Amino acid sequence: MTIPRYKHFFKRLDKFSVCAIKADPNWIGVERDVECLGAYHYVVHGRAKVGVPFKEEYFEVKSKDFFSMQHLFPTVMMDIQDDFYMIGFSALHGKEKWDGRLVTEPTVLVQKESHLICFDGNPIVNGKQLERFDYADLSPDRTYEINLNGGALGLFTEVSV
Amino acid sequence: MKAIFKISHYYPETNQITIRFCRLHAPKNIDEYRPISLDLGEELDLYDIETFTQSIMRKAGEKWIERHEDSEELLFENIPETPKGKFNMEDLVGKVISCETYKRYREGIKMRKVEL
Repeated sequence: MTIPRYKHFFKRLDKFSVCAIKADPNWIGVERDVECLGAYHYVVHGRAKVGVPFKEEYFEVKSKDFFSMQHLFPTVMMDIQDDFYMIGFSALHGKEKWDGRLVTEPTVLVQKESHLICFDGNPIVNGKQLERFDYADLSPDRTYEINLNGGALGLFTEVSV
Repeated sequence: MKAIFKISHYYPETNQITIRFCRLHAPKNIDEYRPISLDLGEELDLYDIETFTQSIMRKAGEKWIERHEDSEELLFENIPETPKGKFNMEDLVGKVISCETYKRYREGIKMRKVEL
């Protein structure tokens, strides 16, 4: 019998954190928000069922999906279907609220300071080619020309409470 | 548990270091612990300080800190016993019982900040 393996990755930056998990098929795990305040997630590859322990409702995520688990807090369960790799954007503190989405437009103009994170591929932003886990701060006074180049970029803005 | 290390020598010609490890709250000066020699080319992640410290602790630090702990003097009052049989809280009161601590590892992510 092979026991499914699981690895957790984490990097704390000045204004947010980035986490990631890699898990084998059939791995099942439960996390509490105190351990991983993942607000938004991007699936690089694989499939998983996501839900709340002991509740019937769940949703499925698959490669290239961008989604939030915040509505499931405080406890989230994942049932991994395929070889799974997911990257998450996390608040530094539970009280912080962030808006997050994947960039789809060729030009980005933000209303307040925001952050770009490259989740996959080699997007080109203002002529600079990025790779996975590259990140950048975006200023509201500038326009950013985006060529996704088959990759995936997350855009995150802290929401004033 | 928090740990510390101190590199006492770096040999660029052989890409090696001499290093000492111990617990942050160790009972002795770190300089009193046994130095070990490590090859920087093997399994150490030199991407940044964070990945270096993580990989060096995994490659060598944890093992040496455990060895130090095992060799450190055990206070007579701390010698544990192993109670057996049915659980009874009354039987545990006042006894010293040994247990394993739980380790949960998280690896670092090599993030790169880009100016656009």
